[in-house]
Amino acid sequence: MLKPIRCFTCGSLVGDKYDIFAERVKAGSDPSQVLDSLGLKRYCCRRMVLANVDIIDQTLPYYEFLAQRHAEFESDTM
Amino acid sequence: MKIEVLEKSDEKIRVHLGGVSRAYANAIRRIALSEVPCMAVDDVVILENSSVMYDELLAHRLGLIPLKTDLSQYVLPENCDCNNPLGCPKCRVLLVLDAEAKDSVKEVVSGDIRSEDGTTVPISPSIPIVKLAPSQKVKVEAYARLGRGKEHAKWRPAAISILTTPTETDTEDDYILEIESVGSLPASEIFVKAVEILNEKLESFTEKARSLSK
Repeated sequence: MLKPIRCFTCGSLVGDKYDIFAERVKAGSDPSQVLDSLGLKRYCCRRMVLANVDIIDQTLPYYEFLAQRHAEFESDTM
Repeated sequence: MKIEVLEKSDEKIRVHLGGVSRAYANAIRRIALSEVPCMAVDDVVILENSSVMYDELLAHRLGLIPLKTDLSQYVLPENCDCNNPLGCPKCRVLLVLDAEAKDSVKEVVSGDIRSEDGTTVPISPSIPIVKLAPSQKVKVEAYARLGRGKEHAKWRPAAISILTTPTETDTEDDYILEIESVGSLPASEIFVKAVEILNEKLESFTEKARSLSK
Protein backbone atom coordinates (compact mmCIF):
# COMPACT_ATOMS: atom_id res chain seq x y z
CA MET A 1 0.00 0.00 0.00
CA LEU A 2 2.71 2.45 1.06
CA LYS A 3 6.47 2.12 0.50
CA PRO A 4 7.89 -1.04 2.08
CA ILE A 5 10.00 -0.44 5.20
CA ARG A 6 12.32 -3.45 5.00
CA CYS A 7 13.51 -5.73 2.26
CA PHE A 8 11.30 -8.87 2.25
CA THR A 9 14.29 -11.17 1.81
CA CYS A 10 17.26 -9.83 3.78
CA GLY A 11 15.50 -7.39 6.14
CA SER A 12 17.67 -4.33 5.55
CA LEU A 13 16.09 -0.89 5.63
CA VAL A 14 14.74 0.40 2.29
CA GLY A 15 11.84 2.64 3.46
CA ASP A 16 13.84 5.87 3.72
CA LYS A 17 15.43 5.43 0.27
CA TYR A 18 12.38 5.28 -2.05
CA ASP A 19 11.68 9.03 -2.16
CA ILE A 20 15.31 9.86 -2.96
CA PHE A 21 15.31 7.20 -5.69
CA ALA A 22 12.06 8.44 -7.29
CA GLU A 23 13.21 12.05 -7.18
CA ARG A 24 16.61 11.38 -8.77
CA VAL A 25 15.23 9.09 -11.48
CA LYS A 26 12.58 11.68 -12.40
CA ALA A 27 15.41 14.23 -12.67
CA GLY A 28 17.02 11.98 -15.30
CA SER A 29 19.64 9.92 -13.46
CA ASP A 30 20.38 6.32 -14.38
CA PRO A 31 18.31 4.07 -12.03
CA SER A 32 21.07 1.50 -11.55
CA GLN A 33 23.58 4.17 -10.52
CA VAL A 34 21.07 5.73 -8.11
CA LEU A 35 20.49 2.31 -6.49
CA ASP A 36 24.25 1.81 -6.14
CA SER A 37 24.70 5.23 -4.53
CA LEU A 38 21.90 4.46 -2.03
CA GLY A 39 23.80 1.37 -0.92
CA LEU A 40 21.30 -1.14 -2.31
CA LYS A 41 23.74 -3.67 -3.71
CA ARG A 42 21.83 -6.96 -3.51
CA TYR A 43 19.06 -7.60 -6.02
CA CYS A 44 16.58 -8.45 -3.26
CA CYS A 45 16.76 -4.86 -1.95
CA ARG A 46 16.94 -3.34 -5.45
CA ARG A 47 13.65 -4.92 -6.54
CA MET A 48 11.93 -3.59 -3.38
CA VAL A 49 12.49 -0.04 -4.62
CA LEU A 50 12.23 -0.72 -8.38
CA ALA A 51 8.95 -2.65 -8.27
CA ASN A 52 7.05 -0.53 -5.74
CA VAL A 53 3.69 1.13 -6.55
CA ASP A 54 2.11 3.30 -3.86
CA ILE A 55 -1.60 2.37 -3.96
CA ILE A 56 -2.30 4.73 -1.04
CA ASP A 57 -1.85 7.66 -3.46
CA GLN A 58 -4.82 6.34 -5.49
CA THR A 59 -7.15 6.17 -2.47
CA LEU A 60 -6.21 9.42 -0.72
CA PRO A 61 -7.90 11.81 -3.27
CA TYR A 62 -11.32 10.40 -2.26
CA TYR A 63 -10.69 11.31 1.36
CA GLU A 64 -9.33 14.71 0.39
CA PHE A 65 -12.54 15.36 -1.55
CA LEU A 66 -14.62 14.08 1.37
CA ALA A 67 -12.91 16.49 3.77
CA GLN A 68 -13.45 19.33 1.30
CA ARG A 69 -17.21 18.55 0.92
CA HIS A 70 -17.53 18.25 4.66
CA ALA A 71 -16.01 21.71 5.12
CA GLU A 72 -18.38 23.13 2.45
CA PHE A 73 -21.38 21.53 4.14
CA GLU A 74 -20.34 22.96 7.52
CA SER A 75 -20.02 26.48 6.10
CA ASP A 76 -23.42 26.18 4.29
CA THR A 77 -25.36 25.19 7.40
CA MET A 78 -23.76 27.84 9.61
CA MET B 1 42.88 -20.54 16.76
CA LYS B 2 43.45 -17.36 14.77
CA ILE B 3 41.16 -14.38 14.39
CA GLU B 4 41.76 -11.37 12.19
CA VAL B 5 39.49 -8.44 11.31
CA LEU B 6 39.67 -7.77 7.56
CA GLU B 7 37.12 -4.99 7.32
CA LYS B 8 35.19 -3.12 9.98
CA SER B 9 32.54 -0.39 9.96
CA ASP B 10 29.23 0.18 11.76
CA GLU B 11 27.31 -1.56 8.96
CA LYS B 12 29.66 -4.39 8.09
CA ILE B 13 32.35 -6.61 9.56
CA ARG B 14 34.55 -9.21 7.84
CA VAL B 15 36.47 -11.58 10.08
CA HIS B 16 39.01 -14.23 9.13
CA LEU B 17 38.65 -17.28 11.38
CA GLY B 18 41.54 -19.74 11.30
CA GLY B 19 41.76 -23.10 13.03
CA VAL B 20 38.08 -23.42 13.91
CA SER B 21 35.80 -26.18 12.69
CA ARG B 22 33.17 -25.42 10.07
CA ALA B 23 30.44 -26.35 12.57
CA TYR B 24 31.70 -23.78 15.11
CA ALA B 25 32.05 -21.00 12.51
CA ASN B 26 28.59 -21.80 11.12
CA ALA B 27 27.08 -21.73 14.62
CA ILE B 28 28.36 -18.15 15.04
CA ARG B 29 26.89 -17.24 11.65
CA ARG B 30 23.47 -18.69 12.48
CA ILE B 31 23.34 -17.16 15.98
CA ALA B 32 24.13 -13.71 14.51
CA LEU B 33 21.01 -14.07 12.36
CA SER B 34 18.52 -15.59 14.73
CA GLU B 35 19.53 -15.25 18.39
CA VAL B 36 21.26 -11.92 18.97
CA PRO B 37 18.57 -9.72 20.56
CA CYS B 38 17.57 -6.27 19.34
CA MET B 39 14.73 -3.80 19.92
CA ALA B 40 11.48 -3.71 17.92
CA VAL B 41 7.92 -2.57 18.58
CA ASP B 42 5.84 -5.52 19.80
CA ASP B 43 2.62 -4.25 21.43
CA VAL B 44 0.66 -1.37 19.94
CA VAL B 45 -2.26 0.36 21.64
CA ILE B 46 -4.28 2.21 19.00
CA LEU B 47 -5.99 5.18 20.62
CA GLU B 48 -7.16 6.69 17.36
CA ASN B 49 -6.74 5.69 13.74
CA SER B 50 -8.86 7.34 11.07
CA SER B 51 -6.27 6.76 8.32
CA VAL B 52 -6.93 4.55 5.28
CA MET B 53 -4.62 1.91 6.78
CA TYR B 54 -6.10 -0.84 8.96
CA ASP B 55 -4.96 -0.97 12.61
CA GLU B 56 -3.07 -4.25 12.10
CA LEU B 57 -1.23 -2.93 9.04
CA LEU B 58 -0.22 0.20 10.95
CA ALA B 59 1.00 -1.95 13.87
CA HIS B 60 2.93 -4.19 11.47
CA ARG B 61 4.69 -1.22 9.90
CA LEU B 62 5.61 0.15 13.34
CA GLY B 63 7.06 -3.26 14.23
CA LEU B 64 9.30 -3.32 11.15
CA ILE B 65 11.00 0.00 11.95
CA PRO B 66 14.57 -0.79 13.11
CA LEU B 67 15.28 0.83 16.49
CA LYS B 68 18.69 1.76 17.95
CA THR B 69 19.41 -0.80 20.65
CA ASP B 70 21.39 -0.48 23.88
CA LEU B 71 21.89 -4.04 25.08
CA SER B 72 23.46 -2.94 28.39
CA GLN B 73 20.31 -1.00 29.34
CA TYR B 74 17.61 -3.61 28.69
CA VAL B 75 17.03 -7.31 29.31
CA LEU B 76 14.93 -9.82 27.42
CA PRO B 77 11.39 -10.03 28.93
CA GLU B 78 11.85 -13.76 29.70
CA ASN B 79 15.01 -12.92 31.74
CA CYS B 80 13.45 -9.94 33.54
CA ASP B 81 12.58 -10.30 37.22
CA CYS B 82 9.42 -8.15 37.01
CA ASN B 83 7.13 -11.10 36.02
CA ASN B 84 4.71 -8.57 34.64
CA PRO B 85 3.02 -9.32 31.30
CA LEU B 86 3.03 -5.57 30.61
CA GLY B 87 6.77 -5.31 31.33
CA CYS B 88 8.76 -2.85 33.42
CA PRO B 89 11.23 -0.03 32.60
CA LYS B 90 14.01 -2.65 32.42
CA CYS B 91 12.42 -4.72 29.65
CA ARG B 92 10.28 -2.39 27.54
CA VAL B 93 10.22 1.14 26.10
CA LEU B 94 7.19 3.26 25.33
CA LEU B 95 7.10 5.05 21.98
CA VAL B 96 4.33 7.54 21.21
CA LEU B 97 3.11 8.58 17.78
CA ASP B 98 0.59 11.41 17.53
CA ALA B 99 0.00 12.93 14.10
CA GLU B 100 -2.80 14.75 12.34
CA ALA B 101 -3.19 16.16 8.83
CA LYS B 102 -4.71 19.64 8.89
CA ASP B 103 -5.23 21.15 5.42
CA SER B 104 -3.13 18.99 3.12
CA VAL B 105 -1.98 15.38 2.72
CA LYS B 106 0.68 14.56 5.29
CA GLU B 107 3.21 11.76 5.34
CA VAL B 108 3.80 10.50 8.88
CA VAL B 109 7.46 9.44 9.25
CA SER B 110 9.51 7.68 11.90
CA GLY B 111 10.92 11.06 13.00
CA ASP B 112 7.45 11.88 14.44
CA ILE B 113 7.79 9.06 16.99
CA ARG B 114 8.67 10.20 20.50
CA SER B 115 10.63 7.79 22.66
CA GLU B 116 10.30 7.43 26.45
CA ASP B 117 14.02 6.94 27.10
CA GLY B 118 15.47 9.06 24.26
CA THR B 119 17.99 6.39 23.18
CA THR B 120 15.67 3.77 21.66
CA VAL B 121 14.79 5.72 18.53
CA PRO B 122 14.30 4.75 14.85
CA ILE B 123 17.64 4.45 13.03
CA SER B 124 16.43 6.84 10.33
CA PRO B 125 14.02 9.77 10.81
CA SER B 126 12.55 9.51 7.30
CA ILE B 127 10.94 6.05 7.23
CA PRO B 128 7.33 6.45 5.98
CA ILE B 129 4.67 4.98 8.31
CA VAL B 130 1.35 6.19 6.87
CA LYS B 131 -0.07 8.95 4.67
CA LEU B 132 -2.96 11.00 6.05
CA ALA B 133 -5.63 12.89 4.09
CA PRO B 134 -6.91 16.18 5.58
CA SER B 135 -8.70 15.72 8.95
CA GLN B 136 -7.39 12.16 9.40
CA LYS B 137 -5.59 11.36 12.62
CA VAL B 138 -3.32 8.69 14.09
CA LYS B 139 -2.59 8.37 17.79
CA VAL B 140 -0.82 5.25 19.07
CA GLU B 141 1.20 3.99 22.00
CA ALA B 142 3.78 1.44 20.90
CA TYR B 143 5.74 -0.76 23.30
CA ALA B 144 9.17 -1.88 22.09
CA ARG B 145 11.03 -4.79 23.66
CA LEU B 146 14.06 -6.95 23.05
CA GLY B 147 13.43 -10.08 21.03
CA ARG B 148 15.16 -12.66 18.87
CA GLY B 149 15.14 -13.21 15.13
CA LYS B 150 13.89 -16.77 15.49
CA GLU B 151 10.64 -15.38 16.95
CA HIS B 152 10.02 -12.75 14.25
CA ALA B 153 12.22 -11.32 11.48
CA LYS B 154 11.75 -7.77 12.87
CA TRP B 155 14.14 -8.71 15.72
CA ARG B 156 16.93 -9.75 13.36
CA PRO B 157 19.90 -7.40 13.86
CA ALA B 158 21.91 -8.76 10.89
CA ALA B 159 20.74 -8.35 7.30
CA ILE B 160 23.19 -10.93 5.98
CA SER B 161 25.67 -13.28 7.61
CA ILE B 162 27.80 -15.31 5.21
CA LEU B 163 30.52 -17.89 5.69
CA THR B 164 33.02 -18.33 2.85
CA THR B 165 36.38 -20.01 2.30
CA PRO B 166 39.32 -17.76 1.37
CA THR B 167 40.36 -18.14 -2.29
CA GLU B 168 43.97 -19.02 -1.57
CA THR B 169 44.26 -21.27 1.47
CA ASP B 170 46.45 -24.20 2.42
CA THR B 171 44.68 -25.36 5.59
CA GLU B 172 41.21 -26.85 5.79
CA ASP B 173 39.78 -24.97 8.78
CA ASP B 174 39.96 -21.49 7.33
CA TYR B 175 36.85 -19.32 7.00
CA ILE B 176 35.75 -15.76 6.37
CA LEU B 177 32.64 -14.60 8.24
CA GLU B 178 30.87 -11.54 6.89
CA ILE B 179 28.11 -9.84 8.91
CA GLU B 180 26.11 -6.88 7.64
CA SER B 181 23.98 -5.03 10.20
CA VAL B 182 20.49 -3.63 9.62
CA GLY B 183 21.49 -0.63 11.79
CA SER B 184 20.02 -1.36 15.22
CA LEU B 185 23.38 -2.70 16.50
CA PRO B 186 26.92 -2.11 15.17
CA ALA B 187 28.12 -5.13 13.13
CA SER B 188 31.05 -5.74 15.50
CA GLU B 189 28.68 -5.92 18.48
CA ILE B 190 26.52 -8.51 16.68
CA PHE B 191 29.62 -10.66 16.12
CA VAL B 192 30.83 -10.39 19.75
CA LYS B 193 27.33 -11.04 21.12
CA ALA B 194 26.92 -14.10 18.85
CA VAL B 195 30.16 -15.60 20.20
CA GLU B 196 29.04 -14.88 23.79
CA ILE B 197 25.67 -16.57 23.23
CA LEU B 198 27.36 -19.63 21.68
CA ASN B 199 29.71 -19.89 24.68
CA GLU B 200 26.78 -19.67 27.12
CA LYS B 201 25.01 -22.46 25.23
CA LEU B 202 28.13 -24.66 25.31
CA GLU B 203 28.62 -24.00 29.03
CA SER B 204 25.06 -24.93 29.93
CA PHE B 205 25.42 -28.06 27.77
CA THR B 206 28.64 -29.02 29.58
CA GLU B 207 26.90 -28.60 32.93
CA LYS B 208 24.03 -30.85 31.83
CA ALA B 209 26.46 -33.46 30.55
CA ARG B 210 28.35 -33.37 33.89
CA SER B 211 25.15 -33.88 35.88
CA LEU B 212 24.53 -37.09 33.88
CA SER B 213 27.77 -38.70 35.02
CA LYS B 214 27.10 -38.03 38.72
